[in-house]
Amino acid sequence: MLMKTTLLHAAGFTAISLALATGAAAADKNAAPASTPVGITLVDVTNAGDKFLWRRLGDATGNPLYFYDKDETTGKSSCNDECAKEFPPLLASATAVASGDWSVVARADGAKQWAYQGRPLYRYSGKDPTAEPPGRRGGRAGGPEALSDPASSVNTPKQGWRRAAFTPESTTPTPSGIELQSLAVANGYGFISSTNHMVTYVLKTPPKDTARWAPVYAPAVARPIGDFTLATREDGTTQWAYKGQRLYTFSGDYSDTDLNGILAEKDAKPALAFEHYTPPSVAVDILPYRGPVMTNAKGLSLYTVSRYKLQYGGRHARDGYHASYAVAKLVGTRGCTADCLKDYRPLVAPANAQPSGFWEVVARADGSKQWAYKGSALYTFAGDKKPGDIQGNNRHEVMYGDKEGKRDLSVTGGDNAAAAREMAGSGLYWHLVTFFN
Amino acid sequence: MTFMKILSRTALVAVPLCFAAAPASAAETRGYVISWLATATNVTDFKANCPQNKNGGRTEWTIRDLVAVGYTRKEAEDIVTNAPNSTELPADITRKTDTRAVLANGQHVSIYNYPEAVTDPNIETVSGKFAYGFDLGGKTEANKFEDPDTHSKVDNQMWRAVGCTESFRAVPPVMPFPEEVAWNVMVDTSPAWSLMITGDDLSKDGKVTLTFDRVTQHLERDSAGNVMSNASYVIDGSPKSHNVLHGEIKDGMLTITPSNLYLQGEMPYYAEIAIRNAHMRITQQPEGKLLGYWGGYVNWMRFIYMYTARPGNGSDSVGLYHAIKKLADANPDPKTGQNQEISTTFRMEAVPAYIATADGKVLGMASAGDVVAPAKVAGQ
Amino acid sequence: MKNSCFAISRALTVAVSMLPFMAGASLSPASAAENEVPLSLRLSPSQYKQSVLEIFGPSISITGRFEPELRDEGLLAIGARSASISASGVERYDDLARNVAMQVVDAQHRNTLIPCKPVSATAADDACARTFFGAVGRLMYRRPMTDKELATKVRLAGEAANARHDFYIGMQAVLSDMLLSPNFLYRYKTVETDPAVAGKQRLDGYSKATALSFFLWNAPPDDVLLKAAASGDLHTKEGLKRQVDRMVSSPSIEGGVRAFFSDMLGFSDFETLAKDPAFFPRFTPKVIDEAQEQTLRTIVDLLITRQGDYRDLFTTPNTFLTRPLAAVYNVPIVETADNGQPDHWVPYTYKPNDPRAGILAQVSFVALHSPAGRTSPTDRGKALREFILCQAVPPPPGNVDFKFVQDTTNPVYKTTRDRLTAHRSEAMCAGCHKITDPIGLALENFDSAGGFRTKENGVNIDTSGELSGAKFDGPVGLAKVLHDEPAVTACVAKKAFSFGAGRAPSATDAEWQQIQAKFASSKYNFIELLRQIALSDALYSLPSSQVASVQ
Repeated sequence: MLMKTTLLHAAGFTAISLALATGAAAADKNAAPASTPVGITLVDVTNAGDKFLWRRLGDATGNPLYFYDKDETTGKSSCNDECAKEFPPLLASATAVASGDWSVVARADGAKQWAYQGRPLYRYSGKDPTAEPPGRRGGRAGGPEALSDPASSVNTPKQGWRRAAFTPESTTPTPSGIELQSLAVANGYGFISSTNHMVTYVLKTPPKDTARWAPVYAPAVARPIGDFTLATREDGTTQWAYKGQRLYTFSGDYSDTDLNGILAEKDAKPALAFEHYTPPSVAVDILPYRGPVMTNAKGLSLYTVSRYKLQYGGRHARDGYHASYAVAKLVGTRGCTADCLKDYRPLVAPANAQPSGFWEVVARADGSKQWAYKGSALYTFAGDKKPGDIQGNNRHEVMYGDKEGKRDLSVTGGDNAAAAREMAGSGLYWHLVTFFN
Repeated sequence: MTFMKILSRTALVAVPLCFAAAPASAAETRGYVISWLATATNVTDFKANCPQNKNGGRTEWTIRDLVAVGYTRKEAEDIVTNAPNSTELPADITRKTDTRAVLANGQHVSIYNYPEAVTDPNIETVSGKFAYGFDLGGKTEANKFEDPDTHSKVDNQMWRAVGCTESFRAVPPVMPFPEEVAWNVMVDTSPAWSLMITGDDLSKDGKVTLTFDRVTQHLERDSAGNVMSNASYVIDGSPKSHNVLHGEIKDGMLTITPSNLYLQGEMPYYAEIAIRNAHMRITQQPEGKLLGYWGGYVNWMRFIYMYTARPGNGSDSVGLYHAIKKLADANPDPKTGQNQEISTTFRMEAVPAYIATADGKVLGMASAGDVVAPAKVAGQ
Repeated sequence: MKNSCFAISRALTVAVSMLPFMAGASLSPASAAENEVPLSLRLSPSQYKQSVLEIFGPSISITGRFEPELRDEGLLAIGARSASISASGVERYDDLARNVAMQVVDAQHRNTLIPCKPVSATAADDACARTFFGAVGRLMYRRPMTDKELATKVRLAGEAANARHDFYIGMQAVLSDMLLSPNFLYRYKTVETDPAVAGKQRLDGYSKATALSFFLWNAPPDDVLLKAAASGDLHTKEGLKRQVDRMVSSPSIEGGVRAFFSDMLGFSDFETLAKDPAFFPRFTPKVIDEAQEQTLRTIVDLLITRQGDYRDLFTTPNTFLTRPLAAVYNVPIVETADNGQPDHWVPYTYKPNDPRAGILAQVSFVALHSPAGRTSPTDRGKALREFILCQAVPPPPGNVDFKFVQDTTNPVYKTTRDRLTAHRSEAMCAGCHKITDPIGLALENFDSAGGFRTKENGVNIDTSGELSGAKFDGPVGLAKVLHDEPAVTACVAKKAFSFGAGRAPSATDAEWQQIQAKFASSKYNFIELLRQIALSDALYSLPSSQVASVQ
């Protein structure tokens, strides 16, 4: 995957656009491997209060993937015949290439099956148990404890099977003082320094402004591990290096959702262990006073629409607003139809678009294809004319029902009599795409 | 005595709008952030305003809801008495009351999402004489109140609708309960609203310009828990909440040429403050603060959505829905004839603040305390 | 000095040495007691934390409180020489030690911090234990462990491992013990015979390395420095210079500079700083945290980044602000953080002759040395005398009535100056107030929280003052007088030396006079001062008791 930066000038803002392109595997040996192959997605599992619990693997439309306990010791598939009818293997194409945690297993019948961290993957043929409840009224951190555990019985339709969690930390050795973490704004999994909990960067050449770049020092008892080696600095101190490039943190970063270092030095890149797929038509702008904003290739802001949920504040903090995956899928493309499309335009996916990572391809009623991120179909806003505009943000559509019942409130969940109180506030809500680590 | 206590006692003090001394020759701009904004209340004489005393409080309308689904009055009272508090009823009972709305096809649905399918409880509305507001040009004399400060005839049908509901009978600095709860969160989480007042000499009568914006950061609190004076804010460049209004200061009172006002908000506080035909009057208070009233027409449905979206949070939201809808007094829907807007008045306070643009220009100066002219302002 | 940590832990006395105040003294030559080379210095909390950080890395969290420090002759660094560990202090250090040790050996850390894996995780492994403790001991004790020490550790670890069937429990127990050892908690001076000069003694290389490292970096000696100690390099001029140059040009010099000025400027008082919210609502808890950082950033920027003149600290218009600080100072800043993000630091430059320039106008001085509800020119003047000029001010007599001074609503004496003038009419008060008030009153434009004002109770504030016969007006005038006052540079030099050596320099010492001369000729480049001190013989002087005992 190639990462290039371009400078966009917009009225009132100076922005650096981080455009991530797909492509053939880069010749750059330092390029981070893809987090998922084409056709395999990542889904955030949340509880009833939309609190993040863990991240799982999904098929092309986000349905859960499973491991089979009996496979564990063999690394080969033990599920064939009737078993495989109930739990169809997740097949890999003939041209699928193994990489990192992703391998291809040959089945007894010669077909190729994807495996993650050595364990073959399967789908479930029946109706999945609803262990991921649709978003209910916010503010309550509810839900059974078991939801947090991928191996729990609430997360599986049958004993002996468990939902496949995405666990890059288990196969990525990191030294003490450095942690692997999901970095949404960097579009991948990267390393943060335990000293200040900031993103670490690699720079090909030493930084020009040394006052702003702090080396990630190694403790005195440190030893190399995995892709981390030790580099001796001029002053005799020892600095961590990742894949041969020295690691730094940047003084202009104030939280692990900041990536301001890439604005300061041309060859600064976040130290990534894995990079998520991003469609070529999508970019991330880091705007002063706004933070990271997901945009289309022309720099116009992208938006999601979801059900209104009660949330006391925080929607305008960087990662302060999330629509759960389950709710996003329930709303789907129904969030904007008919007159709405005059204001919000779908982010079109090309005919040959393939899902991967957090990106799915959803079909609209008219047959066209649209990109969806973390389950939410994406749109631009007609009133946004230039990069930095966010006119389409923070908009509520009030949708009361009528007494004849003609108005369909299923998209907002307002017709849910069983959850009358929790689903109050029938309406839709438009928001910029948020970056949640 | 803290500042807030001063405000609550003096309501609206007509202090000449004097700002810290500035060279008479230069135009000056003073910056503020809105530190308090809620429905303007006038709760001086309950008997005169709500003679029937029909609405009761939370307990009473909970009893009414239970009666509506078939309990006798006595049964309803017993249920409420035995509950841990009057709104924490057993889930199966709550579900009954919450889904008592019945569609034409007999389906039970949420009263909060289908208020039209709930029989109007005809809550008591204000029948008293006084309410804060402005003359918005309403044609029906009988709907007018008298403003307790200006003694003018004013339009404020919103107060008529909500003024006999317990949670709205709040005396500043206390806000109506649902607004209070949401505002206190908004202070600490939602981008604030700024106001800049520009004039040749703000210590004298004369023409002024008011510029409202949203800023990038939420309000800062001081160590006493109030909104801090003299903090710095940067204007959000998005034009959505940018408003330039014209007004004048006369005899210490700032008023504006009626205009429209739009400020983005955040639910469960106001999704937006969108006032058509907005009127304002503002005066300066000690320590450079502002106190004033804004009045105009707001979309009634978007107002009541705030309340039906948060059931039980201190209001009989369905009763209010019907009252507000009935009392809406402007902008009829061409198809149905139903008025889409209702006259309303807000009370506001503001504290001094430095307001700057994203590219580093300080446009509005704070005015509390000794203000030494700023040095060069460092860039980003 | 050989001590079993258990013996130490059982010899529990609170040894708080309180030096008598020097009544009526101004700048006085250091007494023999002050010049006494300390035998040992207890690690400060920041040095403890830095040691754990540098040895084991930042993911080892240190939670818990430390034994309180002693301030002696204006510095905690000098107080460290007489700081023992009380009964409750032992408990605190024990808690800290257990907690750190537990983390080092836990599943998350053991594979990256322990260089070997045991043959069996449920039993002792002497070879692995020896490898680990040998390496770690050298770093923690700041010298190689003796064979006997190492053997004891290995044996104890093995016994614990076998008793609990867990290799790592054994490692944890011994590591915890080492963290509680005086060898870790104290910096000792070890003396050896100088092979080059018959009959002469010297500090051994490791003691030199320790002194040097905590002085310049506020950190334990790193591997490079320990190797230089082992090879004898630190005993040669060239070798010492190599290490000093390395350390002075490293970014880690900032650690030493910050630690020094935090001590010199009395930042430990921030722990108890509070202001009345009714009067100073903009003085929030964030301001308390950020005020220290503002001053330290100002200092680092001037003295390290710009390699500037120390005297310019009192006049520099360059500083760094956050939004909360800007509100206190009543200035606008333009800050780039989007909603809800942590406060950003913004470089800020006051215009020429702005009274808010210089570190004395910052919250860390004017607010730190004021009571909760009013200013105190006396406190500020005293702090300036003691911290900046090295001039002792006697404490007030026990029977002083402060009511008059504290009456900020007095209708007759409307300003602090008026009230102090009236207070000074008492003969027994005048003597000390003469020393403090004329300079403290120059800062009266700053209220107790650090906010700028020109009036008090409606009356214009008179900020005229005097120092050593030089008259001035206001903070700008004061800063200019301080800039040219020789005591200012002499004081920081003395304090810097004292910080490193744990004792005051001898004023008559020729080497010390040379150091001061070089400080002056370098245009008062503070980093150059540190370098000269680090290269001096005085920093590595022998404790007299050791000299005597060896002889």
